[in-house]
Amino acid sequence: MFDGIANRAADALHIPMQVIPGEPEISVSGRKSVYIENYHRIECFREDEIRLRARTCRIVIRGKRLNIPYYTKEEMLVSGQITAVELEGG
Amino acid sequence: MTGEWRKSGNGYLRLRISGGSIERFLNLCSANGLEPWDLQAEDGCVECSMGLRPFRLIRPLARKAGVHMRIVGRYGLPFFIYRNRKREGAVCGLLAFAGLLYAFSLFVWNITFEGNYHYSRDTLMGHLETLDIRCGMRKSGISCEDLEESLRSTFPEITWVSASVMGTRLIVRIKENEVLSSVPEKDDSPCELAAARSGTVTRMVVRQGRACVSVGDRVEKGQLLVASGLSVKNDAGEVIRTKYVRADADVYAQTDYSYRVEFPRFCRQEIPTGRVRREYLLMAGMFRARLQIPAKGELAEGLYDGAVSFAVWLAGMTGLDRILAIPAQEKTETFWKETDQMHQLCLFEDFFLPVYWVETESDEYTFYERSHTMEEVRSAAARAEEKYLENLCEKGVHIIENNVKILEYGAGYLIEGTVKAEEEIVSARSVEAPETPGEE
Repeated sequence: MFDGIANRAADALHIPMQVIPGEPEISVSGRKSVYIENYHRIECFREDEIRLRARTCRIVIRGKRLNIPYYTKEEMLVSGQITAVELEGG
Repeated sequence: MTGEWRKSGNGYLRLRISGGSIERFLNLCSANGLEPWDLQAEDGCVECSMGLRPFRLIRPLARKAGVHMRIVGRYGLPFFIYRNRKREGAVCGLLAFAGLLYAFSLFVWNITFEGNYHYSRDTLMGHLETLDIRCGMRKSGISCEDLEESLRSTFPEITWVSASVMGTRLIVRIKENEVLSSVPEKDDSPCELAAARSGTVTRMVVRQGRACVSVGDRVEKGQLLVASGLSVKNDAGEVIRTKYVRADADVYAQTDYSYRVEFPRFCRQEIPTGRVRREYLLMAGMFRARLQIPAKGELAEGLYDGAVSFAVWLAGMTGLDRILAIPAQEKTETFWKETDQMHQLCLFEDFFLPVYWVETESDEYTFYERSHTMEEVRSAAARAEEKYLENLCEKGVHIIENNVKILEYGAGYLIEGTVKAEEEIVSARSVEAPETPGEE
């Protein structure tokens, strides 16, 4: 309900979607690293898969030798040999 | 980089986390602001790094998540000190180094001037010498206020000066006056105008004084052009007195210049052989250490004459040759051109130390004598002409015509040039004004 109102308001006011609270922001730098903002929690951490829960979806990063150089409550950097970044669910 | 230094300075641990719910443990850590870094998953375990302070706080979180933690590595300064606590020599060396650094930090080892254009560094350093301020003196002995005051009073063109000691460096920032500091006083004393050069007068404008020549006259150097004395006459046309004024006029004349430049027939052609010899000189107080690296193949080709020369080379390597005054044995048909570069050891931006090193790069050249080509002679003549005309133009001389001749004689070439020019030829000459008799 609130998401729908927020989305419509942002659309009407031409506000970028990035500033809507809770939406995850994902930046992929080639195959080497992925930078994620606004994630909620870590669900799974394996060397071939990292699953993160965001407010609106689940982020799945697949690859080889995945590691997390740093992470905080809101942001995380994943590096390694990345093969896929998927968004699951709603 | 600062973060890395901080981590190493405070010390950190490498942990292996296994069992229970590792992801929950990681979420609990981030929720409590205790973020581990450099996480790597392998075989159902996770390895991560963590600072010492967060490590003391995560035990309850580990119990809550049911994970086991094992320390697999200890890194950073606290652990380094702990590991090396029994190495007295290293500790003494470290302390001695720190003490030496502290001792050096009490002195000034570099003096820098900024913003000086009119006054050279040597001039300013000379003045600092008179104030007993030099490299190697104690920082506490420098009064920046006195130094600023002294510079301002000694050098009138310096309008603003700021001296400060930063690290082991004395920085003197200067702002110089960019306009004339004083307006020259107008000279009203009587004077006459004479010819500074011989020539033919082409135009003249007399503002004050009595013209003694006219346009078209040929004048010689030193000849009077405009006289200072003006006759004051009465109604009957008799001269009652002479008034001496400051003559003022523009007198232009056509003048002739000539110059002569000798150019040798033969020249020395220098060709680099491609051999480069390097030398490093380390200077720390009275200590000097020199390392000379001979050019590639220099020893192998016997350029140094056998064992004696090898000894010379060895002496050169150790710096003994300068003490024993052993001359270097070199080929006579080649010579070396040296380029020196001096550096001062600087730990940080302003922390200079009295340690210098000089890098000398010598390039070997060979030479032969050859005669100049006519093209080179012509180009030398053009250069000589250009230089001469440039000098004349700087003096405000207007060039009307110029001719250059190249004459060949036994020893070489003679470049002769004649220039026809127009220029102002007045030169002020003071006159002794006799006492003016009272008006009758």
